[in-house]
Amino acid sequence: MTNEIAIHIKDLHKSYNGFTAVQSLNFTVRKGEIFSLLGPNGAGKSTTISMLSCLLAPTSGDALLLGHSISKTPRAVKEVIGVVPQEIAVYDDLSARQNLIFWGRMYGLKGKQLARRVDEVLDLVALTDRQHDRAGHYSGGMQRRLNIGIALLHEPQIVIMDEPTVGIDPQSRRKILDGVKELNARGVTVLYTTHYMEEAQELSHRIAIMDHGRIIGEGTHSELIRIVGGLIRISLTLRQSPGNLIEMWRALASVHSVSEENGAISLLVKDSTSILPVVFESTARAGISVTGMDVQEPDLEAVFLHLTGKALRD
Amino acid sequence: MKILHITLKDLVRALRSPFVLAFMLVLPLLQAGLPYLAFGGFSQGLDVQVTRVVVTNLDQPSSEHEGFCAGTLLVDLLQSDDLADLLSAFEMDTAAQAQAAVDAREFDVAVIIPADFTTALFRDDETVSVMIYHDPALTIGPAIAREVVTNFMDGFAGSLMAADVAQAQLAAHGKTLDEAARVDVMRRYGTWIYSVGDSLERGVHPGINYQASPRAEESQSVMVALIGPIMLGMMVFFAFFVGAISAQSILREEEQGTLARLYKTPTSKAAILIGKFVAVAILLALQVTLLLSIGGLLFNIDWGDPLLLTISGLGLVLAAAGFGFMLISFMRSMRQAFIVMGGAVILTSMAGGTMTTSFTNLPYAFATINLFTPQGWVLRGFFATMHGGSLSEVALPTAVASMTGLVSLSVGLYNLNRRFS
Repeated sequence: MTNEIAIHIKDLHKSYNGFTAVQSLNFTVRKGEIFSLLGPNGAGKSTTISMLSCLLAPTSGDALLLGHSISKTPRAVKEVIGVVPQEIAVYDDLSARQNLIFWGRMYGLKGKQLARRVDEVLDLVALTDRQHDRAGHYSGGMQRRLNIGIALLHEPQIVIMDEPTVGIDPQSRRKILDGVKELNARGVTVLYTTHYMEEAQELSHRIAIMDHGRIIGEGTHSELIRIVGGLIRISLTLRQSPGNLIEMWRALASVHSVSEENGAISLLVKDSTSILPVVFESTARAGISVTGMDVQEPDLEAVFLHLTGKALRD
Repeated sequence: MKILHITLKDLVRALRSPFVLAFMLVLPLLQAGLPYLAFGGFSQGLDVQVTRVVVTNLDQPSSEHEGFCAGTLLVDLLQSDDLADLLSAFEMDTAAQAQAAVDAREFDVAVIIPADFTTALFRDDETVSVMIYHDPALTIGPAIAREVVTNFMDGFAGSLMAADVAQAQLAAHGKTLDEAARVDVMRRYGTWIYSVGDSLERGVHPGINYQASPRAEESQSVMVALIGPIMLGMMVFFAFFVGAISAQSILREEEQGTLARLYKTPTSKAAILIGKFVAVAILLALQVTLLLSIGGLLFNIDWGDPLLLTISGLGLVLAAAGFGFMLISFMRSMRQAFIVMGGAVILTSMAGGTMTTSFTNLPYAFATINLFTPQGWVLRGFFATMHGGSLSEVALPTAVASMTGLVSLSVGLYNLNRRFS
């Protein structure tokens, strides 16, 4: 990783039909970095990706990818990036090889160079043995791998991946995550969007947390954890309604915040050992049964909860 | 080059689709082929099964009339080569044997000629009955046998009248006609009426020198002339269907995400849309070429001058491809396209006259309505070609059809360009 900038996003804004999908987005990604956009569905991640891949024109602002403007020189941008879309965008009635040849040609590859890259990518995504089978006959994981392989054909310096692990089995997911790391090890800059906290945590050099079209937190994993000040999250499930217990817990000195969503209660506390007896005692006194409890050390989920007051998975 | 690659990819995908192939070739050929087969297409005319006839001739030669035997003449007629395509007649000795053979389904019809057949025919005051005994489940065979016997008896009655007239004429001049001469007159009259009847059956009187133009003479039977317009109508109808179905690849790619992915490659939007249009046009050209060739080879349809046919074909390709592109540009999903597109193609094709190509007495209003559809103009071009029209007669409707194609294409490209911007 170097200090050179691969992606520079400046006040990027997108709105349509009165709805603002992305507002005043600003961040930079260094060359050779894996940068994740983490956020729930509808946070604006895919809209951002669509603008960076020149599919959508921004309402205002601009982004430079390796110095090329998405507004002024979109063709140059398209030549240096590879985009892995969220959906499996392959031709299911063509074989893996036919797919790669076609997409390679769309990226301007031809002749021996095209044949070499097709072979290399088939090897990379472990589809050499099944290269002549129609993509429609592949498993979901194989289709995902082909979907990724297409974006790597022209050896792009920046790869943008939009939730590439949605809806696949753990084994295929593992292969894809390892593949992203391998790709990055070769010096490729990766912009990765996900709503899986664990993926962002495992892969990324830096993470930006998005919600409602804005970046609400940005930094390395440890920098983000520090936002919640080392707070521990206690998740409770109660059989009855908590009544005024929530207000009571909020008033406690070591409790940072309390939130309730869909019957699940989350407490962000500085010290779980001192607060847990208080919680059990107060619920027992109120005649409320605790049916479930989970204590979590600080993580990105806690950061998101801290910043937005709601859980990331909602 | 990218246009070419997009075109090739779309062509490969389309030709791998059984749905496209069915609309492209199978359905139009079935639509035209079924009536062809129903009218006995491959057997060169009406295909009627030969009726098995058993004849019992109980008639005896008449000594009164120079040994003449009308029953033998009728048997000879039933067994003549001229009727071999319709009847195969076999003689049996007794009526009972003949009827038993029909009951046993060894024969379809028994013709039993009575003993006094000749005598009765020569006498005005006697009636005679030839029995036609047949399988009750059959209609055509017995009708043919009855028709042959009726014609024979009509002819014989005419011969008698001819002989009577000749006798009366000679008597007026004080001369007589002996029996041998009388039978000769009857025979000569019989031969003449037989030849006239044969000619009239073919629609030509021997006294009329009927000549068709050399072009029509080369051409086809009535049946082929009927199939030609049907095949043409079906070809135009299904070409517009294939135009719309293959243009659906835009919607399909949009739903599968590959269109958005294409737009993310360094390929211009124009190249993508033009590549797709060229694929639709090539597919249609292939369809039209194959259907015209098969129509010519299989159904002997004479489509007319090859150059003019090519011009008409190009008009069809342009009109159908443009129409398909325009339709698809208004659709939001494959589901919507399937319903709306089908309805639009069927309605315009019906109004354009593709379903009524073999009708010649359609109301004037109908002929006016089809001027408002591209199919109507395409058909005009093809009909002009088939009927030996001049270049200008073919070029005008084809130019109008092509213009509708270009305008539709422009509307389609404008809509699609706006939609994906």
